[in-house]
Amino acid sequence: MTNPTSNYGFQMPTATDLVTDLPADFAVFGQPVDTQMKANADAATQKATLTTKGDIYAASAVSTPARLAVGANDTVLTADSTQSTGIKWSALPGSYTLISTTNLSGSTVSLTSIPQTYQDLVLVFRDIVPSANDLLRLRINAVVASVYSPLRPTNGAGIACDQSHLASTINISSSAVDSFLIYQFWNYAQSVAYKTLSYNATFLNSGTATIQTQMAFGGIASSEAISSLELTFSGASTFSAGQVLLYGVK
Amino acid sequence: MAKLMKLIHNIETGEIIEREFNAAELAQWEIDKAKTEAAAIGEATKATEKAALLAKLGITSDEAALLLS
Repeated sequence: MTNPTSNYGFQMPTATDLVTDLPADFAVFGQPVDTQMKANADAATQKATLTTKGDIYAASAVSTPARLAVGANDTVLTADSTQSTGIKWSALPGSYTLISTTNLSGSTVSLTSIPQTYQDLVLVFRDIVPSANDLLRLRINAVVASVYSPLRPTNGAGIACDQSHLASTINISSSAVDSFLIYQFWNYAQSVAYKTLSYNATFLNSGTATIQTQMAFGGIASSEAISSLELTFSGASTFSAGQVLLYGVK
Repeated sequence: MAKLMKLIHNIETGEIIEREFNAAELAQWEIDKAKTEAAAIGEATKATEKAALLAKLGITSDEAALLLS
């Protein structure tokens, strides 16, 4: 062993030191060791910071490790400078989160207080059965003005309709046949530009009694963030059956 | 006429209530219904006029479409 020690330079007694000098020599040696050990301990990352399976260390500042608690299942780490540690757990980009499921009944169904924390909103109608053959209608934020463009199928002109609502383009049969309609509102939470949407549907056409599929696009001349949706039929029909599922897309 | 019912699902709280239409909703429902009926009458009138014109011209709708293509 070198004297002083090679890493920290601690001074140790030498072979020629007098025995009577040992207490003083130990003082010279011991105090720097104590000081260095304390400094090392203070600089070390504490194991006790991590308290739960899946926790990780993240820096809240230079040389300042902090605990980031484990995220929910199937979430991923995302940089976010507004967080104290600069990162957070979040849903995979493009993933769908089921926000709500509503059993349809009555003349009108309103979904209110829609969260504004997603990129897009997807509305899925499943197994709708109107009490009589009818067109499904939809309004945002209870807006009744003529701001809704006719849905425009990809293979044809827009369907002429009263523009005070969005309408499905074909009468839905009251026969108990599976129907499936999807509306996707892009960038629904922004409040600076008009809204655009796509529409996909498979259902029994009450006029031709055949299963039809459609894909269409539409727009809403309103810059309001969408916080509520109102679903109804154009005639006097009521919802005999069916569900509407609301998804948020990150 | 049966009472018009509205189901309201508050997504934030999860609360679901079903109640009768209020006066404003009923008034809007009447407006929507009138528009739908007017549109249906308009479509029917248009179809009748179209059929009458085709009969007057002595051609079928397929032949009319061919002329316009």
